[in-house]
Amino acid sequence: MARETVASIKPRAAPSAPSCAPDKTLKGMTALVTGAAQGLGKGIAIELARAGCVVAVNYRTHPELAQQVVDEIATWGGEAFKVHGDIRSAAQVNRMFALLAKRFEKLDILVNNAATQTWAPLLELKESDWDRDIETNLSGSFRCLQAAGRWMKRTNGGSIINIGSGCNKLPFPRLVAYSTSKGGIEMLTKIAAIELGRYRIRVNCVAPGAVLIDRTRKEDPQYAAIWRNQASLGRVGLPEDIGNAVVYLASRHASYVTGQTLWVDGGAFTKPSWPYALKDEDAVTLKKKKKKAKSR
Amino acid sequence: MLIVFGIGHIAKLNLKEIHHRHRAIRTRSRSRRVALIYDARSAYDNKVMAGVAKYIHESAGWNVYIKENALKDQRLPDLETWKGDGIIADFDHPRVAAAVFKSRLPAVGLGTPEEIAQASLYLASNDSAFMTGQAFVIDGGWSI
Repeated sequence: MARETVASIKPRAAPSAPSCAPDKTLKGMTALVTGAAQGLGKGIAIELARAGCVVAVNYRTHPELAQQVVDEIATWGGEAFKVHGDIRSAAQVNRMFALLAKRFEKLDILVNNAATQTWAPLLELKESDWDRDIETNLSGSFRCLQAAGRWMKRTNGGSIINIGSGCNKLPFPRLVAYSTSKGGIEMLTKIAAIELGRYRIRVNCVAPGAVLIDRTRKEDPQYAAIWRNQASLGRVGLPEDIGNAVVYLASRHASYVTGQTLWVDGGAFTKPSWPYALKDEDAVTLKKKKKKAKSR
Repeated sequence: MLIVFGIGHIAKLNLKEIHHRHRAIRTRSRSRRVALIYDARSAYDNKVMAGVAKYIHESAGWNVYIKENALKDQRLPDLETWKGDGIIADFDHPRVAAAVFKSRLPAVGLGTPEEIAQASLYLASNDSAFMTGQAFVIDGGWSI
């Protein structure tokens, strides 16, 4: 099967619906994106840089991939640099934020994106895999959120965006550690929004649906086709779809939005499991057809 | 720019008449002080503040007394040391936000029609091309 491209997946933008942020709405702002060397994080870092941010591209194990993201951003005049840190370690998170404090006067945006997942039936899941997923996805997000929150409190505010999942609210069989951690992200987002609102810190979550990245391509070779049928919009998501949602939540356009989860899923997780197939014709057309058949 | 610092003296009058033989005792509960900080030159802000006061009166049954201070030297009060129960402020004004930031009191911000319009702009634009079927909540965290 031919590899899907952005052009083949996403219809060309309608001329009447341009971007709501064409004016470099985040110009001069600073952002840290965890797990930004590849996948969703890379897409988010690129969109933030395109919107005018200086982006710190966090990585854990692949500095060369992080450097590729930095170089790609630089090719069209954006500004980014890579910063190492394993968010499972409090010491490394502290060191990462200390490094950022030397580069940035203040941190405007934190995107808690780094995550791991283990596919395994509940009764066979190893405790080490459970620990790794919870430590990375939930505890790691908490560490970065707390560090960023303390910094933003001193500098009169900011925006924190946690990357969730359909698993924020929907139970995914065989994905128990990941789903549990994302359910925790949902509540962490709300509580952080309540406690930090008084410091002008907004905290929100973006819950992506099925997004085509290298990891999901490996999940199933037919990933795009499978999830195309699930999404009401008839296509799989792309990293830029998630990046655009993050840019919106980080911007002044969302200045009164906090504690919310934005579901960017093409309608996949809104659609119920309905036993009746949706008919193409509406009730009026069906009634006319029945009447015509009767009159024959 | 003239900024009016209106101190709302909100008093809850809880009249309890206790008849003890030939005596009647009235009690009054504690009054609360809430600062309303906004730009009084803005007709919209004036309407919002009037609406806030009306809402407090109708929903909580409290009597609301508004005392307005016109600041001749345009300096906001030192909210860091002001003793009250809370602050309702227009955070969009940078001087107001900076003053409120210093206070340790609970503070509530006011939303504006522009903030709702900006969310509509996002949803109408191609930036939200992978979003559908969602109810968008723009309430400053009120409903969480």
